[in-house]
Amino acid sequence: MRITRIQFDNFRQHRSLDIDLSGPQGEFAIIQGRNGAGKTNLLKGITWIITGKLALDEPKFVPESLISHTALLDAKLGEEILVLGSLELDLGNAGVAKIDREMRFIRSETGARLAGTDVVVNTMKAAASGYQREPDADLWIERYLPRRFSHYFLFDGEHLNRFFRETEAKYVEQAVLEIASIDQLSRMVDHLDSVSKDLIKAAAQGQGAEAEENASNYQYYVGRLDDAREKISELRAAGEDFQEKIAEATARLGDVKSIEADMRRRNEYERQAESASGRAADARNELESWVMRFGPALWLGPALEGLGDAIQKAHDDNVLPPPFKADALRELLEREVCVCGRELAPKGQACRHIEKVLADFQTLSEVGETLSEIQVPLYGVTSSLKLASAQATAILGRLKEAESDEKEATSQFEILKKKLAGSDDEQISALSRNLDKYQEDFGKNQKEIGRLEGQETHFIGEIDKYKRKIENQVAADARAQSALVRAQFAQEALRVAEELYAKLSNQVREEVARNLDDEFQAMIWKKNFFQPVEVDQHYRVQVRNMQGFEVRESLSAGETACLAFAFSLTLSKVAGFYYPMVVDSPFGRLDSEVKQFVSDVLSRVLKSTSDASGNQLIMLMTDGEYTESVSEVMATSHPKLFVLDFNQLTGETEVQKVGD
Amino acid sequence: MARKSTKTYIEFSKDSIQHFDALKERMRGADKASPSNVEVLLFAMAFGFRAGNRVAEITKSGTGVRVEYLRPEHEALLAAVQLATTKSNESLVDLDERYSIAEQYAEGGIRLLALELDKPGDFNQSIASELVTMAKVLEVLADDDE
Repeated sequence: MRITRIQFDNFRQHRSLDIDLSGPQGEFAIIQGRNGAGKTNLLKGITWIITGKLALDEPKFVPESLISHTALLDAKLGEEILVLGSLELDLGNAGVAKIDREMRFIRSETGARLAGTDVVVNTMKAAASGYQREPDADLWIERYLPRRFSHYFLFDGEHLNRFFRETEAKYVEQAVLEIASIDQLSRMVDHLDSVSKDLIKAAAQGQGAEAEENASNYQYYVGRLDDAREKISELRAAGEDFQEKIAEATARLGDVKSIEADMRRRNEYERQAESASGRAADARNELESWVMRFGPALWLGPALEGLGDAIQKAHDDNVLPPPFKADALRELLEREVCVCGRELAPKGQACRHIEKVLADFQTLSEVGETLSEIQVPLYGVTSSLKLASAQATAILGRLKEAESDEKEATSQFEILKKKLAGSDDEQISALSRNLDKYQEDFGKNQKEIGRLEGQETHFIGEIDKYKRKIENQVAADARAQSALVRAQFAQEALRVAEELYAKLSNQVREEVARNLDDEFQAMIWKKNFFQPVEVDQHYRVQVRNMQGFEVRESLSAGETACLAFAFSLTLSKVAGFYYPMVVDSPFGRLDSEVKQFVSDVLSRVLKSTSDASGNQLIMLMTDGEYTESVSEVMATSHPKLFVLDFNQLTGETEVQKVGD
Repeated sequence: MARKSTKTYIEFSKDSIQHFDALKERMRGADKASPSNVEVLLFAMAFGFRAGNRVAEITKSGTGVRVEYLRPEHEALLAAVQLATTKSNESLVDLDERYSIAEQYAEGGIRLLALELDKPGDFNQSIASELVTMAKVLEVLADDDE
């Protein structure tokens, strides 16, 4: 199926838009435009025509918000404004069709009020037969363009992560089972379960007080079981809500916990840098003290050595003070007696000798005593110098270590500061607290589900117990017997239906997984890197690397894009119909090399399937996405190229076809 | 025994007083306390002696470091400078001369240090670097002696 024409009147900035996609090249179109040119509104418009909503995650919208601003200004009071969206479709062998969706408004003083809505589908099986209006437009759309699939074919490439969210898995399951038409079987299983229980209750009625009591108990536990299951279902929905909130917070800012941990590490590095800076400052101060303490002695080293040598020489020459007292010599002179007892002749040779010794001693003792006085402190100074080198080495070691620590911590701090630029600490802390709360709530939720599942098992046991009692008691009653036989038949049918459902469901799931893997492996550039893609029992898409680790969460933006495109193509293939694929910003988050690769992949996929299946791909791209290299790659598929241009003077978007 | 000195101060010139204070401020230690006047005097004297910068004629400020604050180990440093300058053991008994010589080298040291302080770069780091090298050389020499 292909869209051959898109038209809008008075739809937002598309006051009068007409894009012709008919002809042989219509299977691949690129609509290029700058930010604000109207690409996203074009996607929303197409989604609106098909589903009546602007997007699956935007189910409610203010109708007046669809009106073109200029159309509103141009309309006179009381005049009707018609917002119209129209899609022409090529259905292949089934002919052509046209969907017109409109909203009528009446211009009022405060703006406009909604006067009516309508959707019309006209089909033409053969050119000669002309258009026929379909009696039920919604039914026709549901048959050819089911709303539940719009999500996977009309999407924004910047929000691909939602494709594989845990909470989306149930939609995937629902969609896939509906595609395979085994959803009816699922409903039949539910119906048989209900019928079986009703029949057992009916069988017990009118069978005496004990049977009535058993019936009452049976009914009680059936009621409790239903309540428990309903609560479990509600809790699961709430759990999914928590998971979605967690996923949303994570998608918004990446892994909040990781950011918070980075912030803690950044703060710790800042503290370490400050601490190391303090230690370095202390070491520098120590060095200054060391300089003050040892500097003079080190600079005076040669002079101190000279002084030491002089003292040593005085020692060696015995010119230090002699080991006797001068006063004793003077007394000998006065008494004119030698130390041996002999008399000394006045002015004699001996007296003159003693007088000379005393004169020499005066000088000798002054110098000698001075040298002696200096000797001990000099020794102290020179001894202390022996510590100088060791102390300096220790101080410099501390300084070097502190400076190195400071450099390392500052470097790590700067890296994290850069990484965290734009992240608000308060905001992250608040988000982290919220995440903690969601996770705590999710934990409680899971615990409660576990408790209720325990109850569920208990109730099932009780129901079985009372069912057996009822069966034993009603054995004699023909009417009750008949009800029991029918109940047993219903239960047997239920068992068979459940088995069949499980078997078919598994087959479909495996088929989806096989197709998804084929498509994904064909697209992906990392060959022999991923194990076959799996879809688990809960319809969660799982991608494992060759080491067996689940890596879907950590796939790159390019790989996620490939997986999303592969998933959409798989749904088409399994369903056996081909929904036109309209993608806004398909390469929004891809780097240039990956853009080129994915565009090449898409071109190849398109070529390989378009002729046979009628696939169609319409890509809404910014100038940044539709680069020269992407354009070169895509040129091999000969896309139809349109440019959207927002005219600031008129406030409207104009479209221009620039080539095939 | 050395003869008693008649000097009360080892003085600086009027011009050097502010340099002396600046140096003292710059040489704050690990505990951020200023070094004593004696320590700064010895530092300046040793720096002047190492550079051979002895300023004999100065206009004295009338203030400086009181000689009574000099401890024996300080005296040993001053005596070493005195002996290295006069080359005479006998001169060591003359304390007035010892203090004059110290005064002259301290003046020369302060003037040089004032210039060093004005240079770009980390004054302490460059001086420390030179002293550490000297200390290591001394250590090596001492090890050789042993």
